[in-house]
Amino acid sequence: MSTLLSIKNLNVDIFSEKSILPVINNVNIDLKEGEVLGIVGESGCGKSMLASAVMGLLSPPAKVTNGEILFENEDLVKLSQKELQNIRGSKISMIFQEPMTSLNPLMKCGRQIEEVLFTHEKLGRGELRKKAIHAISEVGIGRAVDVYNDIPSRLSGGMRQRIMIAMALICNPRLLICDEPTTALDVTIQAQILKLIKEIQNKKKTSVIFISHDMGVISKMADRVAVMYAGQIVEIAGANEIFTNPKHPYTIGLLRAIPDMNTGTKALHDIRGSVPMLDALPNGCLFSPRCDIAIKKCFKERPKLKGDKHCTRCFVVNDKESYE
Amino acid sequence: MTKKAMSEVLLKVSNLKKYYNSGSLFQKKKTLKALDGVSFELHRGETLGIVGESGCGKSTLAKSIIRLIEPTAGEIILGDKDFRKLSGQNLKEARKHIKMIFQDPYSSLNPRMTVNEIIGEPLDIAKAYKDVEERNKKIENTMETVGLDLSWKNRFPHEFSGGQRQRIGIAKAIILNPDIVICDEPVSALDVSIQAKIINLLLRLQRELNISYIFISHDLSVVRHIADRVMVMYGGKVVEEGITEDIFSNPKDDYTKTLLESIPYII
Amino acid sequence: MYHSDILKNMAKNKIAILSAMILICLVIICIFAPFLTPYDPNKQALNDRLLAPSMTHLWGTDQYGRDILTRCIYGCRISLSVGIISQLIATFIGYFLGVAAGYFGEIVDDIISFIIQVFSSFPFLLFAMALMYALGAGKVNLYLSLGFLSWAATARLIRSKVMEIKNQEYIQACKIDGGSNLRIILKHLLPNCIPMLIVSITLGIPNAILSEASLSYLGLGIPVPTASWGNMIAESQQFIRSNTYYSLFPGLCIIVTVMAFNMFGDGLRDALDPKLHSQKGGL
Repeated sequence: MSTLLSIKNLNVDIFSEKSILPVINNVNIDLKEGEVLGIVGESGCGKSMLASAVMGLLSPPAKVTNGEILFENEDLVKLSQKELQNIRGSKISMIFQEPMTSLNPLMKCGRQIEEVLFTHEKLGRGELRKKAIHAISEVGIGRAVDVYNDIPSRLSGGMRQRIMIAMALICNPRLLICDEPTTALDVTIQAQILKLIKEIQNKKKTSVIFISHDMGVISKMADRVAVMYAGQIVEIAGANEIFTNPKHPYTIGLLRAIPDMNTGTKALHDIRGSVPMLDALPNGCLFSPRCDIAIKKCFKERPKLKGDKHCTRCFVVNDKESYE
Repeated sequence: MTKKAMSEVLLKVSNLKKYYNSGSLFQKKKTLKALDGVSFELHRGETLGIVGESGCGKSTLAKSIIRLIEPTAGEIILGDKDFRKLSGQNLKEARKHIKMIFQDPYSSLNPRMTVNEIIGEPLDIAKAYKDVEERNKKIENTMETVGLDLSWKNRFPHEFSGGQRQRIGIAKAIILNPDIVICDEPVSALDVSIQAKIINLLLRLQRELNISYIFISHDLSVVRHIADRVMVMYGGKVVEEGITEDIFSNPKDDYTKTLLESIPYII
Repeated sequence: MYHSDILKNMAKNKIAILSAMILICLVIICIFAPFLTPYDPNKQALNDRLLAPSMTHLWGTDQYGRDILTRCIYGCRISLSVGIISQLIATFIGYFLGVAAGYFGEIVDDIISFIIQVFSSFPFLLFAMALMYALGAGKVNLYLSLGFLSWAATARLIRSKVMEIKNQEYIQACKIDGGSNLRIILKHLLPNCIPMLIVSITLGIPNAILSEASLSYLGLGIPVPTASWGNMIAESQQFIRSNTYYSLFPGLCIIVTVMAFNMFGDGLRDALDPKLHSQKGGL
């Protein structure tokens, strides 16, 4: 399978009055066609910023300061807003956490879907309607015509998210970015929506970047998982690999912090300290102040992401592997 | 469990109902049954988990128990008194024994009060000290118990992270040594690693102070970790209640089954 | 939304700083009035009638030979005291009625909202004239009547603010602890309303100053011979062609003071406005 999206040495900084905050720090990602990449991390780790960068939705004071985002061998960073607009919605689309803020609450769902389609394909009225209704039924809504005529504020959260998905997929995009698409939903609805995204992805062979803070959700969806911490990818590997054999101390800590269904009323593992502020990052490895296995070198130098299929950004782990 | 079943009943809720009437003058009256006959008992030192999806009535239940909203019908027996019939000084006295921890660590602390004022407020209201020295001592002890640095006493809430704010909320809830603490989604606004710290803190406080929790959450894995007994709610009714392990390993109700199947387990 | 931020935001606003400096000067002038001028504001000197501005009388004299600068300085005392005191009264009434309406809701809200509606639909000056006519001209009556007539806007502001914050969880937490309504109103609601109150006082003062001037001009405010900018303009009217400076100076005093208060109030409001804050924040 060929590579669809390739992010190389990407840096995004926020320029504030006092300082420059590195929200994304040297991120490299390759996404193959038909692959689902999960990005997981705690709030403020830069995962949503990464999605905005790919969509070309960064607005000042945030700016790409280095690196390239190659999509179908075209550097998205260099494109003008107009060129980006042509790509957004047709070749790359996005689903957000809160569908209500991205849908017009008083405009018929069907019309909103048609609008997206019309900006990319100039079709006749009847053709638009047919395609929109088809898209609505495709996301598992039985009464497609009724919903076509309904306004979003009368729909439930799950239904709205389905409409968002229909809207995102109407032009058959090659890349779909999902930014916490189920965080605002109840667990049973979440299960339905996840299943729907997975089904459509299988059917259409769309590549997906799936962003979530929930390890469980990521493990259901992703083929490959990247763990982000303070703007960097600290570990990236196949989903099975990362959950069964996590290597980076942060990934291990995160996985152990989740209440395990089998532990009973024991104390949970926690990671000491808290996420560093972006204007006061440690000199060495960004995780070093919270790390249990840190060595002297960790406090002085920043480690690089190393490995073949399972990459880790950690001196201790990488050194141990080079001995073996 | 058997030991706990034998222990003293702190709270007995029976047939609690809360109906909302909607519809204006010209519309047909509709009744929304937010709580439709909920009954349960809470024993000393145990944790009762309440799970369900949004709109199932779990938050209404919490607010009704603590009398933030007035239930339509039912009984809330707290200790040996009917909590719903109390008023004035008796109510104030009873309120010392039942406290609440809120979901949102941002809106649950007054942004214009210092930590010292926030944690000390229940003391001020209950007049639970003789002099300023005793008040300070109590505040400092509580801050230490929940793991807050004493040098933070005069800071404002906006200077803290979500996890630390939640600790302030917890300190405020336990400063009068209550018997019951209602936790309304106390960790759902927090990141996983912070969530673990707060859960550990709640468990430790329960051991040390013998508090009973009513732990409301939509996150079933958290509830499974912390609760001794679980109550599943749907549409204002309790659909299933039992010992945590039984509910999770052998659910009887169809809705409970759907709920459990929906949890995204890792691998 | 904290003191240091507010000061920082204010410091960026040059016009607000200038206005603040003007206001501080005015206050100092009012306090030290007797030391700043050698003349008595009310003592007549019929030999010096209607003199043009000169080194001895910087702003000239009026038809009774009184120094206009001196009278303007003493008039400033009247204007500022009427402005500030009447607005303090208005804010006090407005806060408590606004809180009562917003916090208790239901029937209390209905009644107070109705009163607010009534008060804001009055023609202000007309009502003030009627009230002053009934009470009689005088300083204290001015404080009271202007204060009594201008609380409605404050009450409306406070009512909506209180409705917004009364459902915050910290208010609920206070109820759970058994806190009384009075405690909630004074300890939780008041500190959150203070920035709004300060702004509404600052923006209310210029209106009160203008009303005082109008009423005094009509002979219903400060009775002569006490100097007030309004009655000075009234007295100067017949000399407006021959001695323009006589009406010009009190007029200028009113414009400068009112503008300074308005601009300072605007700056303060911008500095305190949380919405502007959140737009500026990153992420």
